[in-house]
Amino acid sequence: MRHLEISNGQKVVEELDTVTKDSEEKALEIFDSLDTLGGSFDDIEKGIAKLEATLNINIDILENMEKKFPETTLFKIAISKNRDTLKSVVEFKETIANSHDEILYITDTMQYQDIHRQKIERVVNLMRTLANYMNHLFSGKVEDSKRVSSARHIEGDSTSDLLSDEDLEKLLEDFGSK
Amino acid sequence: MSDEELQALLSGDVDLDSIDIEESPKAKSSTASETVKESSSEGDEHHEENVRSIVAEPPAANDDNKVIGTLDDVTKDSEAKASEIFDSIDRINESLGDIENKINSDVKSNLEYNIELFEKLSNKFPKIEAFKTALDNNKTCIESMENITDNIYVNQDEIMMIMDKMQYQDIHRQKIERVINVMRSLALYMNHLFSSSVDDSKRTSSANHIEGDKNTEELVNEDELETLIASFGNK
Repeated sequence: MRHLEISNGQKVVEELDTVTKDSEEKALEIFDSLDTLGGSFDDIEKGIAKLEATLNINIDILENMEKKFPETTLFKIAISKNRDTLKSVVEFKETIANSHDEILYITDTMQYQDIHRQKIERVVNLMRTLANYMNHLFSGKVEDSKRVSSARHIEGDSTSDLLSDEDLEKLLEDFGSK
Repeated sequence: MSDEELQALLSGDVDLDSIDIEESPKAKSSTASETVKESSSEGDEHHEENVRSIVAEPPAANDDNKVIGTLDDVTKDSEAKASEIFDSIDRINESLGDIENKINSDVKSNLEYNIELFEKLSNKFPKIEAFKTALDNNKTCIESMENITDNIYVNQDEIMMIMDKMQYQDIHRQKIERVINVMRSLALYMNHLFSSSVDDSKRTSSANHIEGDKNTEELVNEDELETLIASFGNK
């Protein structure tokens, strides 16, 4: 009697259980990382706000100095440099705001994981129900060990490794000579 | 079904008892209750109840229950979502890289220039507090910039970690695909095993009741039978 050889990877229910469990764990870890990123962005925003305030004060002072000493180019250059940096600050603020949005988007997209878990769980439950149903359907009162084994060849089968008449005769002769 | 597929499924002469099929607690309770079955009629009823609760009926073959279809949806959708997440993470990483570069070059050099300028100004005009305050502010800002770049390094590590974790998605997809293939092979194998040269439409339908059956609810009792015979006689 030939049977299905089942390797660990082919235990479908177990395999799906591993997938749901592991993906849930990984999703939680990713959510934690996203939280850390979000918190860190808040800190970066605070630092950028501080820089912005400092640059504005610098520009105020330097503009006053420029008015008092219009012949010096030093203050003009300094004002221009501070204004350029201020432009970068505006870009930083936008970038961080966008990154915040990306984090929210990722968090939102990660929700699919929960839906997929539910779908896989339904599949697992269906398979278990089907397996139980078939076990019940195919159950009998006679134990497998007490069953007569199936004939290797039944008339009409296309079995190819049968004994030929010659083989059979030889075998009978062998028995006779013993 | 191809010979190779059949071979894959039927490889090895493993004894049925040696196949390690882990039964769920439900299945185990079913087996356990089957043993009780033979002991008493009370136990028999209990067993029947048990089995009925476990295997009340096979799952309905509706669209929601198409297991392969569901798993296909899951793999396809999770792949699409994972790719979107990778893109987002990548964008964040690039943005942080840009901020870091600008801080390390333009911003820091500007702040250093400011510090140098305000140092000169506060030395020349020691009575003007505004220069000293501006000098201190710019110095504090340099420290803040250091903090920001440190934060960015930590964030970039965190992003690498997220990308690493997201790799599991690909492994899960492969696992689910293997499950799908095993199930499809099994379905084909069973179709092959149960196939016949006789068409279903030409088969005799199963008897509603066979002697020994326990379900007698729909059977006609003797009174009903007599009434039926009498009604035939009247015609």
